[in-house]
Amino acid sequence: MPRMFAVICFMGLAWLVQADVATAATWSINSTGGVLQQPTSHYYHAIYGAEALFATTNDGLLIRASYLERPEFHDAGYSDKDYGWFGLIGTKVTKAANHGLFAFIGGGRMSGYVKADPDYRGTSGEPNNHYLISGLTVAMAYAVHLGPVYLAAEHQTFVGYVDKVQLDALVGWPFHFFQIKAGLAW
Amino acid sequence: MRWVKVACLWLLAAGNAFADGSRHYTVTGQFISLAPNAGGQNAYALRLATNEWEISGFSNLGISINGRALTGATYDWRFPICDDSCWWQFFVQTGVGASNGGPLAELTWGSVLPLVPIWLPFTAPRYLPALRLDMTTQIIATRWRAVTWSYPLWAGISVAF
Repeated sequence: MPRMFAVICFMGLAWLVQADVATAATWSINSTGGVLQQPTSHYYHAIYGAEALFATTNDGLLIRASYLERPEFHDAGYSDKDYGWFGLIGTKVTKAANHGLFAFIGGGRMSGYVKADPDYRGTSGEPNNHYLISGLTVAMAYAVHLGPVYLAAEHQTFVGYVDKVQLDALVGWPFHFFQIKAGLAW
Repeated sequence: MRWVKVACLWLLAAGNAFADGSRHYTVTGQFISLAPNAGGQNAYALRLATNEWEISGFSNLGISINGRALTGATYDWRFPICDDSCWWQFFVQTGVGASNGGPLAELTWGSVLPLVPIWLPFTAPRYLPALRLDMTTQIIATRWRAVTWSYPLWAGISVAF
């Protein structure tokens, strides 16, 4: 497996550095901000993050890596936080040159914790509850290129893996992210 | 064995039916949905689609609006990633609609997989049942707030004609 992985990586790099792709490709680094909705809550929480985006000619293929987090929230002697990281591939689904709708699909992980606040409870502050789930994620973004400036509005859904018991109960774990993005492309 | 040969020929003929380039329609019934909370949800939808649009009616028995199930209708613009010229279809949709909970917007990532053997070398087959899998988000504008409701997996059967 490691040898096969190395071969795949080498072929991918060779493909990326060939003249047509390398000269026509676009890279962008973007900051993101918006709101998050957790699976079991219908409140909207502020969230922010960053992403790196690679796009081939005419946005036929996009590759994206992103990280998002909700700031730690303190209340009633507890603090809690959510964060996640994702890898997605996508494509443009409309035809206009410098703006349009993009569709992404990929995988990622969401994590978070709820822990006792040591200042309030006098406890060790060790996490009382920590979760980490892997899952599928999809996103739709409307993006605009204004020269080197990249702007986008996006909805992303992450659905965490469920075990058989949860599946039998028809339960899923969707996280929703509504985000505005801004960055630089070159 | 004879009926197997007949069935294969029929499948090939049905699969090639899309090669004429004419507009065709797909009707979908969705009846199994995961829910973003314990207990699941019984959500049903009936949809009619082309490669460009989809209209649908839905009812979610898991959400009660003044004692009645959330029920509504939507119009979606479809953006195919791989349309019915592909054996395995992928698409995204954005839509608007109305419901007894208020006006709504809808975002869907969908896929249609023919329920036929994988080696059959044709595009999306006509008249044959296919498995449709959606991940749908509805944003419902209630009186006081916008409620985001999720169908993390919404499964059903599609038939193209």
